Amino acid sequence: MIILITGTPGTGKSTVSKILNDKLHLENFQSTLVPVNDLIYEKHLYHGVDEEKGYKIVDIEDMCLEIDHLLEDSKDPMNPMVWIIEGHLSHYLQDADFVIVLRANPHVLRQRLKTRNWKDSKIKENAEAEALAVCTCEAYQIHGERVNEIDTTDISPEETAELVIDVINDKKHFPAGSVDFLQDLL
Amino acid sequence: MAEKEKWGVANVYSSFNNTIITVTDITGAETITQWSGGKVVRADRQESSPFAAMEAATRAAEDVKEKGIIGLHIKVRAPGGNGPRTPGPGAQATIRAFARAGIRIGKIEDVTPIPHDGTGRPGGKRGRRV
Ligand SMILES: Nc1ncnc2c1ncn2[C@@H]1O[C@H](COP(=O)(O)OP(=O)(O)O)[C@@H](O)[C@H]1O
Ligand SMILES: [Mg+2]
Repeated sequence: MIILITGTPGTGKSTVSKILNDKLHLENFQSTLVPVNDLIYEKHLYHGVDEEKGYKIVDIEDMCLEIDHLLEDSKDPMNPMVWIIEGHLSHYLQDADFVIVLRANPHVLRQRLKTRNWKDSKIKENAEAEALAVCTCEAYQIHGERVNEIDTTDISPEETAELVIDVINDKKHFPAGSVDFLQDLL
Repeated sequence: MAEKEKWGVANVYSSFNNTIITVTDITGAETITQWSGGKVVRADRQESSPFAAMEAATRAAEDVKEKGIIGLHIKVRAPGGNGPRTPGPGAQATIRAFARAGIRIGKIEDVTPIPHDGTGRPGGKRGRRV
């Protein structure tokens, strides 16, 4: 099973994915967490730097190939693996059983990002991307109804991980388009 | 001497199923009008209705003309692409509605934000034709 956890930086992907991975282990599932950003740095899956905004420009095709190979190489029919692929670009992968977009109110997101010592312009652009649901829209174009979005604004990381488990157990579905923060932009 | 033609800037924010249009003066300092398409209820989730966005643009155009503005430069923030499953009521519909209302369309800029931390995707959509 392949689970993609995506969302604007600061929405809680890394935190929730770690909890999710631990919970699955406790329930005796074979699961592996793939933090996409770590992989990008480690394997140099970028083809430049955006000097103005200060980020590595990812080669999306290389990134997808690298992850495809990783999954292919570890394939074991006797031991099906649950893959948790976590990162704000993870939704670009074509193969997935579930795509989870984590959302947070842009005002709350700003507060979360302030602890990262980023430039104001960087915090602002991410808050705007969140208000416009950029990750949801991109994910929906590739994955359609497989996309779920979970609003983390008023819940804990543990509760968020529980909701993800409900989704992968087909107990709950949070369709794309159900979270709307556009009004919070203005 | 003829009075200088007045232009404004229309900021079009188009998300999954909602569109907001904010028109400012050319400096961006003064807001002239703001209209929301409201949430577009999508009967068929594969294809969103651009109706609400067009309606909002038509209302905005009336306010704009009333202020003596003859043309608008457009700044689009819209994550939707052109695929078969494109979400969002569409910035295109908004711009077409402006034109249909007799507003001249100036420079169209795509300023859709890109989520990024230490990494991000290429910003190739900037400057695309809308
Ligand atoms: N419901 C929630 N789910 C996930 N993170 C949350 C939630 N509520 C608050 N947070 C906080 O938000 C921050 C998210 O950081 P992180 O997991 O690094 O985000 P990302 O990996 O998406 O950039 C953490 O400090 C986390 O404790
Ligand atoms: Mg992270």
